[in-house]
Amino acid sequence: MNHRDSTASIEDAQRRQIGRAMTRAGLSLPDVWLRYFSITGIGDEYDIDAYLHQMFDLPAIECDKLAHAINELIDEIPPATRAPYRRDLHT
Amino acid sequence: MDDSSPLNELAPLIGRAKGLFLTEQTAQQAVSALAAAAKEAIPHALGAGVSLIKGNQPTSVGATDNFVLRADDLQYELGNGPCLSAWSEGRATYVEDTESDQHWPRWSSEAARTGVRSCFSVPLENGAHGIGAMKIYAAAPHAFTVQDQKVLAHLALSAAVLLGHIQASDTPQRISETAKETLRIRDVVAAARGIIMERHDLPEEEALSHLLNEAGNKGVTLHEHAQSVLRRDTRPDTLTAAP
Repeated sequence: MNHRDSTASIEDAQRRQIGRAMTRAGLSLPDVWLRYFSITGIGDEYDIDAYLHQMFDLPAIECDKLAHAINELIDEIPPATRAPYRRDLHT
Repeated sequence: MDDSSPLNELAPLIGRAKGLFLTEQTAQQAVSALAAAAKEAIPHALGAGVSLIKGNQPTSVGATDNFVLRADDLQYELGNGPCLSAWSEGRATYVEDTESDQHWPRWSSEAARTGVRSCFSVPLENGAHGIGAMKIYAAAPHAFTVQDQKVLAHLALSAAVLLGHIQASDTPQRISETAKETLRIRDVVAAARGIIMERHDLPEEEALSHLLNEAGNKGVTLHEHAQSVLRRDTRPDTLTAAP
């Protein structure tokens, strides 16, 4: 595998995994774009949509901003409510 | 700071992204689709459309056929008709036969001449506020069943939501709050990036990567990390001056 191929496969892996993380966390494109824009992202919403659908390449730094925006939003998702033990219910 | 100029351009952009801002054009396209659906779903419907009324000025939106526009215009010229009444009275109107109708005799006789024999119209309401009416016309008298009327009432609900959205006056305000906050964060991040560029003699992209890494390592958002960079840089004495 030459250098070009490996760069391309890394790009694709990042794209796929960014898309998967977004889907699994149930994040919407508008919310992701807004966060990405707020951390100096320069692509517009359509660029991001096209990128996620493999129709458009973004510079590496923009991919990382996008990944970071998604991770921030994932971190903000409230954790699921835990079930209480009996002792937790005694006051 | 002058709020108006850049925000005015950015607010629609961010509004669109937030899904808060339906442009007049997209709303009208969606309403056209609803009118077409009404015509298709209601067996004897000859055509359908919406009258949108802003400040007593009615306009037709999403008319499926030219004769719908003519029948609508006739109402607007006369200043009365089943759709205008549906709007002003906030209730559905049904002209079962234009040749014998007594409610809107002038409109009915004119409409009958153009081949419209019945008309069913339901008001479009945005909250308690009437914004217009959605109607179907038929070439036969007594064309619409109770079921047909329910179908139209159902589609009218969607049309009202779509059209009400572009008229909502508080929308720009809400968007502009989001726009302001987003731009403020972006400013902080960009300023921190400039500091890192200068401090470590890095180009723009690498400076941002540097910030991303540090934020990731500290487990804070980029905004929070950028704020801490700004604090350190603009107040270098904080550590020693702290009480």
